[in-house]
Amino acid sequence: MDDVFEHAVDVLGKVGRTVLVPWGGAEACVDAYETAIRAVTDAQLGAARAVGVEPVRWVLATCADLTRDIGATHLSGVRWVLDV
Amino acid sequence: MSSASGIVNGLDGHTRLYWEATGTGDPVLLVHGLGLSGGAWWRTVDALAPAMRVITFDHRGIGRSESWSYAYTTEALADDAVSILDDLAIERIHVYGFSLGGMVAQQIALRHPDRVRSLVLGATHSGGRRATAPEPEVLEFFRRRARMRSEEAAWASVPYNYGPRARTEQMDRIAEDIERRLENPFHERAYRAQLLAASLHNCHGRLDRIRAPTLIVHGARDRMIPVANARTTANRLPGARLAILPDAGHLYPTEEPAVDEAIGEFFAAHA
Repeated sequence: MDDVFEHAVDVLGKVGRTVLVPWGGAEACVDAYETAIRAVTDAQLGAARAVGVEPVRWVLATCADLTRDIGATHLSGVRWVLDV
Repeated sequence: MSSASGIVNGLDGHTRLYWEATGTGDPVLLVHGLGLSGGAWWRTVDALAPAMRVITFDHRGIGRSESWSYAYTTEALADDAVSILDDLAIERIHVYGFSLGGMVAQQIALRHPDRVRSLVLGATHSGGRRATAPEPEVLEFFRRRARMRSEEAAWASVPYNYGPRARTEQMDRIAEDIERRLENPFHERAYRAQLLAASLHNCHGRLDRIRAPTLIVHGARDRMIPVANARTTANRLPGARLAILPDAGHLYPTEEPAVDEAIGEFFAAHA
């Protein structure tokens, strides 16, 4: 079962890396995704600090946490499959 | 020896992180492992503080740090650590991460490269598909451990945390560790969140982007994070030094006290 899973992930990774070649390759695409996540997270945190009024600040700070953590989870999985 | 402590508000504004600083000199941040508080570093603090300013802290949900949400990723834990450096106005620092803390230290070096002067990765792995998993018995222990009371869990973890030599010759030091550990309770949900963070951790493909001088330390008898992970990490980190401790298990600072002095010398060489 583990072998089948590993093989499936290998195939998926190869397909992913091939598909992403026109966009600069898998590593560049994953890096760009990470940069975007960090930019959105930082913007939300910056807005939370600038607003400073509850509950708006709380909502923005929470959105920043969620963006970073959900993004990090995506990235971990994608890097695992693409092996980058 | 001078000491100070305080609470920092995390970047998100609703996380409160407890920190302690001991000694003066070049600063070093110690990042602890799964379910442990900053207090677990007491042996290393005693060894490094005569020459350095040693900063320890509690991850959120552990010891005296609080948050309405726990940290489910090593990225979040790394950002928490950096918010402490911001509050203490420390621009660059040596970072020593142990086990889960080593994963967090990798994230600090990757996400905040300008802040890291040098890096020590102790008993850790870099995640991804090339990480070597512990044996099934250890994984089963992690599952059982979540249902145990703190003291029961601390003693039940001894065969997995310490090498065979320590379990026959150093039971007094192991008992000291457990006594210290039980002083800082943690919420079960925080433990589970940290376990998830360790499972999701994946820096392997980017390790070669770390520019800070790096020392990797690992016990050859480590059952929690098999020593093969140290070699995998070292192979991906050009220029990193690898120190394998032949008789030590996972919690090598207890078993090999001299290693803290060697780590202090590594930091001094990169001051």
